[in-house]
Amino acid sequence: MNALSIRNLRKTYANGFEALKGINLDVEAGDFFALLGPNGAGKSTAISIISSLTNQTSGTVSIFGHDLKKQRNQAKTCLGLVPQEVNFNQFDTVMAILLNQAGYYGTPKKLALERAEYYLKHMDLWDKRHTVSRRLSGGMKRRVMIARAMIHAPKLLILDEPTAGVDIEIRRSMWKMMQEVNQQGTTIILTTHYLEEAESLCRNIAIIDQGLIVEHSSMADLLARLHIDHFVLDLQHPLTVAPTIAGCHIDLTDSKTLSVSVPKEIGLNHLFSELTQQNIQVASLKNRTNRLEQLFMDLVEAKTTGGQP
Amino acid sequence: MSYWIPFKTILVKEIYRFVRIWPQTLLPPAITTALYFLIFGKLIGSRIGTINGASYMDYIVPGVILMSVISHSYANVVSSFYSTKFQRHIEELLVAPVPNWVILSGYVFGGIMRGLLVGLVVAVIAMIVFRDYHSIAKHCLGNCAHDRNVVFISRFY
Repeated sequence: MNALSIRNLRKTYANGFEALKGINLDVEAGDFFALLGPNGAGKSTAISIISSLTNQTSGTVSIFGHDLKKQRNQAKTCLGLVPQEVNFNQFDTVMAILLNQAGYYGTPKKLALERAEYYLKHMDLWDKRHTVSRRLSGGMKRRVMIARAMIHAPKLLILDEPTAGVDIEIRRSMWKMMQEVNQQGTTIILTTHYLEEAESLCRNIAIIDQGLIVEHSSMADLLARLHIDHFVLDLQHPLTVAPTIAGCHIDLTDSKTLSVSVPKEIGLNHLFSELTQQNIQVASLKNRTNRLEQLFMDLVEAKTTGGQP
Repeated sequence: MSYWIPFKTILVKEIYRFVRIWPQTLLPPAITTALYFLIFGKLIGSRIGTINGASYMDYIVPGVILMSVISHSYANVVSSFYSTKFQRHIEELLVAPVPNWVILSGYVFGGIMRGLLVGLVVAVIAMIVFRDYHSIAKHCLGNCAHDRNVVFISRFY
């Protein structure tokens, strides 16, 4: 069964702006799904429609088989939302935020208390349960929103840029937590601008741009399409001119740094043997860009220019 | 699905909100009505005398109490809902499977609770001011002051 099924979803705002131009999307139950796109692509509009914060102009959305218009309450019960911006009452305590949300979903107080304790301990917030939420740090607020979204045990969790603006330590702990939640059977849809995050966490991906889905496939299939890898080589000895290797594109960034683009069919072994022959010693190597980032740029630019990725 | 738990959650949240910020919600009506009772009721009202056996205080106390109940119950729903919308935590309710009528009922009953509490506070203030009035009248004017307010207050409380 699909956790989320979207058919021909359109949204035109009152000012005439067409945010969604008829998107179709299926997310399987249990999936960890990435919904990517540049700013203003329509991701947040789609999420707002799925979570009933905005009404669609046309099209259908069903969550675990429940049509969002005809079986609204059943559909809503299956869904947990972690929005992009903090939207809880900043004057409430962490515990009050969680218990109120559980109450809105009709969760009995005893069960809500048990779940609140579980998630707050799990997210390292138990000591802060009686703290007024406006006194929390940015990372803590994000974790409160995740705990709040989980309090009614949703089957589908939508995370709209959950790690935006949080430090790397908290981000990694949030990744671990998201993976655990997914392993427990919750379907997760993640939108993010950190493509490294999407690449390492998600199994399937959709890229949305200018209100249309421009890519919808598995992460592995998408990454397999990359033909060229980009590397930065730190050299042991300075150079004045960039070396020339057939098939590779090499730029001299500074006297001890090379920027290299290597097609997959040539490979790194060939590159290194050529460099060794030219008596160039490489001290270290790193990826110039994230692989998914490169693909993302190719797809979005191809869509903008009307060409092939 | 029973909507009792969502309704109760909204109602309790509303009561907790106006009790938590009592200096903004309960203290101002206490001060304004106390001033009203002191200035109009005690200083000016005492000079008006009685009309058909009812003093000025008899006349204004029930009106001031009801005015406080109505205005504060209305103000509670407006201010609470506006701040909920302004701070965007109305999204918590919109995302949840709570019908609009349950949300509306929760806020309306929250407003009623604040109105009743403010009414109680104003009534207590009226009783305190009235007792002062009674005692001043008794000590300054002797036994000539037979205050009908005692009868009025005892009738209502």
